[in-house]
Amino acid sequence: MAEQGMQVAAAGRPKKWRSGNRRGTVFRRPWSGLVIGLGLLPLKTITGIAGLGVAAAIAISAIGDGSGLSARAAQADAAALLDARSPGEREAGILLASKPAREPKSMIMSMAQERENGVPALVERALGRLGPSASADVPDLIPLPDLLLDGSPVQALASALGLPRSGAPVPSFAGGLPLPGGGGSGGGGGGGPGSETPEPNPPVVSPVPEPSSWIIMIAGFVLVGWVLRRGRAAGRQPGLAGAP
Amino acid sequence: VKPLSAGWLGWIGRVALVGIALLGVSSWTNERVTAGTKLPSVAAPPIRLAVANSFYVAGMPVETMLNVRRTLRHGAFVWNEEGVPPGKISVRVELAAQTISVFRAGHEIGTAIILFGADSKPTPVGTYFVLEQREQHRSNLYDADMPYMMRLTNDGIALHGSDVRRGAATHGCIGLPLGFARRLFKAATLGMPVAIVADRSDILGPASERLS
Repeated sequence: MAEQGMQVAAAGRPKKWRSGNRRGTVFRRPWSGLVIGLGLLPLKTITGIAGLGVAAAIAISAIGDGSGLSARAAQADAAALLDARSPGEREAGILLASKPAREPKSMIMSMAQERENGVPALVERALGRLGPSASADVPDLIPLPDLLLDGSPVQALASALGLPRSGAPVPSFAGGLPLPGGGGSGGGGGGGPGSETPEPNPPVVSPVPEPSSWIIMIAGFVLVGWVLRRGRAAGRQPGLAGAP
Repeated sequence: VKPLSAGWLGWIGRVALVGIALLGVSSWTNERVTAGTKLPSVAAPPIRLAVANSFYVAGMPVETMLNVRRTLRHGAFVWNEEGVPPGKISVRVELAAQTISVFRAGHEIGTAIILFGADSKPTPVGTYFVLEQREQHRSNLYDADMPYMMRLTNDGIALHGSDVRRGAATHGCIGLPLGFARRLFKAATLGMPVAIVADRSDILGPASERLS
């Protein structure tokens, strides 16, 4: 009975456990970390030191993996096998919880929900805008004459809004942020057909960047600083980043 | 002589080395999470282990059981038929351990964490046989979908797929993870025995102890 069982056991491995196996193959050997560390050594920079630390971690992990494998029994107690997979006894006091009450998803309505329901959101995000809101900037919709017959709706709109025909910026629909003045050509672009009907609810762009953006920016500063230091140490004019 | 590491090539090399090192670390953590991935050169852990106990599920002796080696979460399951010959299928449900085991020809081919009846509507213990199989079933008792339903009793106890999660219970049915239910439904036939046990009293000690 036992022999047959072991034959079955040796037939293969479940596919489920094979995931993520090939990618780390090189790093499973204890010496692989050392090789990487030695490779990094002649670089004489911080990367070399950091690389050594990382390599040491890899080496330690590889050693740990090797030793963890050896303890295996040919035969096992069925109860122990069941214990290994079972999360244990169910918590006491479950009376009838086949369909437990779900927690309300969120007290804050999303923008999409708000638009669907036509109900204004109860909660406004802090730091949502810097400048005055777009609805305050853009004058109310003026009942326009039939502009499309004219053939030049942009100019007609501009004149209807009391603006000079070219050059001056037409208030754009995303006008939450006060733009620095001028921008003649840009204003012409802003007055394109898209701005005929200003959106009542412009998409809010948070002025506080995401953490990932912060990380990228800080990494960039570090890189720039490092390159500048490198240039100065070599007695060259700082500024030409990284030119050899 | 300019060292190789001075120019852009050196930079590329440095970045590549750090990237490789990070890859190694990520694979290491991945390794820790999915315990069981091993090098091909090292002997792979066996899928199944021979069971030292001599115990029976619905009258059929159990020879090997899946070597799961980790606690399954609610909703998780293992299904592996590799190397198992065709044969009769029997099912053992242990309420205390919240597990189900599917045996074919004495070898375990699947196991999962299950839901069972709440304290006010307990799952009855005993050996049952599948009376009816319906892939899409809607309970007329509870007005709920019960995919891959395998009826055990005529008063509404069945195996069926459900949303298995921690802290949930059923009205007496055995709730299975959906993927597991689909596989079991395929493997099952009418009359398949299902032993529902409350504890391990059916698992006796090793064969030698049992003979004495």
